[in-house]
Parts: sequence; structure tokens; C-alpha cells
Amino acid sequence: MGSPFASILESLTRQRGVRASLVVDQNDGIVVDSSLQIGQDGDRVAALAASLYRKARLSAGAARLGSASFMHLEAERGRICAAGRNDLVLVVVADPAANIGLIRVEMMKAVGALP
Amino acid sequence: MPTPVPAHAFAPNDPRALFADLLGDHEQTALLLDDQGLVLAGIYLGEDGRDVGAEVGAELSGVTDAARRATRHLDIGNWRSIVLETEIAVVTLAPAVGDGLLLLAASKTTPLGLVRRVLDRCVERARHWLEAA
Repeated sequence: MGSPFASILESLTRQRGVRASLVVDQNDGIVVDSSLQIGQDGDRVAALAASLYRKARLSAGAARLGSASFMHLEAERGRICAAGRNDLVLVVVADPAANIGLIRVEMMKAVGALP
Repeated sequence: MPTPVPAHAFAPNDPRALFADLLGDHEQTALLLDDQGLVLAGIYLGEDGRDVGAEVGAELSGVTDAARRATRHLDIGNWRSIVLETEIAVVTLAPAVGDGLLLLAASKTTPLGLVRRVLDRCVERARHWLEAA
């Protein structure tokens, strides 16, 4: 990887249980850069995660809760985390057993480095 | 930021008080919503003291459709919870029985682990309440 996001994605993918980390355009759900394990469909993950994050952010705003900074969805067989800055969303897909506290800390650090 | 409501402020069996004893005096509140996003139990007081549960519930219940779509297409099973951190609050959503939804909002300063524990207790309380209703 040689993009400006390479080090951010590498630091996230190093976390135990992380299957995929991506930088996604929040508006159209298109992948800007990604680090994926074999078998992960980056385009699909990006589109769905960006859509979910956008919906959560808009709903929080409409409910007068202020702008969203971090979202975490837990499901039976995986987790989706998203954190946004400007028009970019940092997305992580992880195993259920992943250390979400650590992933959250890394994502909050990383999102501050997004342009 | 949600305003806490003491349990003694309600009449016995008032559905608005369903979660009051679980929430204590912390800056947190809980709502039980039906599958249409309508409030079944709980209360959400805004900073001006007005009950804004209907508005908050209606807006945030729409997130679950996006959650279902994402989990189905990514094949990661049914969603169990969503945590949303905003500028002023931590909002957690969890499915309740009968396609309902449990919403817990806490102040931004509330530890996330505590929010999660309270959410689990509220989900259990809602299950018992709905089964008895």
C-alpha cells in the first residue's frame, strides 16, 4: 500500500480479530483505500457500512443529539465499527471476539489523522 | 443530554417508570419502542424538561433498517446492539421482543461498559414487561 491512508489501515488491521479496515467516501460509499483479509468484499462492506453510518449520523442529528463520532454494531458473527471525519469514514469489520475497546481507541486516534 | 427522572415521580405501574430504578440518578434514560418506532414505555426528557421520547424514538428507530440490511448482506447474523457516540450522548439500541427496540441514552461521560450493562438490564426488564402485558 502506498496511499496516504496505508499506515492508518495497517495499524487497524494489526488488531486481533480485525477482518477488514477501509477508508470510505461517506457520500457515495466508494472505497478510497482498504486493507482486507482474503474473502472480504471491500466494495460491499464499504457501501453497507457507509450507508449505516450515514443513517445513524443523520438520525442522531435529527434527534438533536449532536453529530456522531463513533458507531459500533454488534451482530452474532461479527462487528462493524465506523468513525467519520469530514466526508470520509473509517470502517472496521471484526470478529465477535475482537477487543472492541482497543479497536475503538485505535480508530479514534486514526480518524483524527484523516484529512 | 438526557435528563434523569426519579422513580418516585411516577404513579405505580406507570409505563414511563418501567426503567427508572435501573437507571438511578445518573444522566441516562431509556425507551421501549414498538416496531413502528412508537414509545411503549420509558421517558426521554430533553434539556428543557419536555418529553421528547416520541421524536427521538422515531428518528433513531430508522437506524435498525440499515442495520438489518448491513448484517444480512455481510452475513454476520442478527444484530444485537448498536452504540452511537455523539457530541453530547452515548445512545445504544438493542432489539426487544416482538420486533421492538430498546433505546438507552446516557451522558457522554458515562463509561461505555456501564452503558452496556444497563442496556442488558433494560432489555430483560422490557422482555418481562411485554410478556406480562
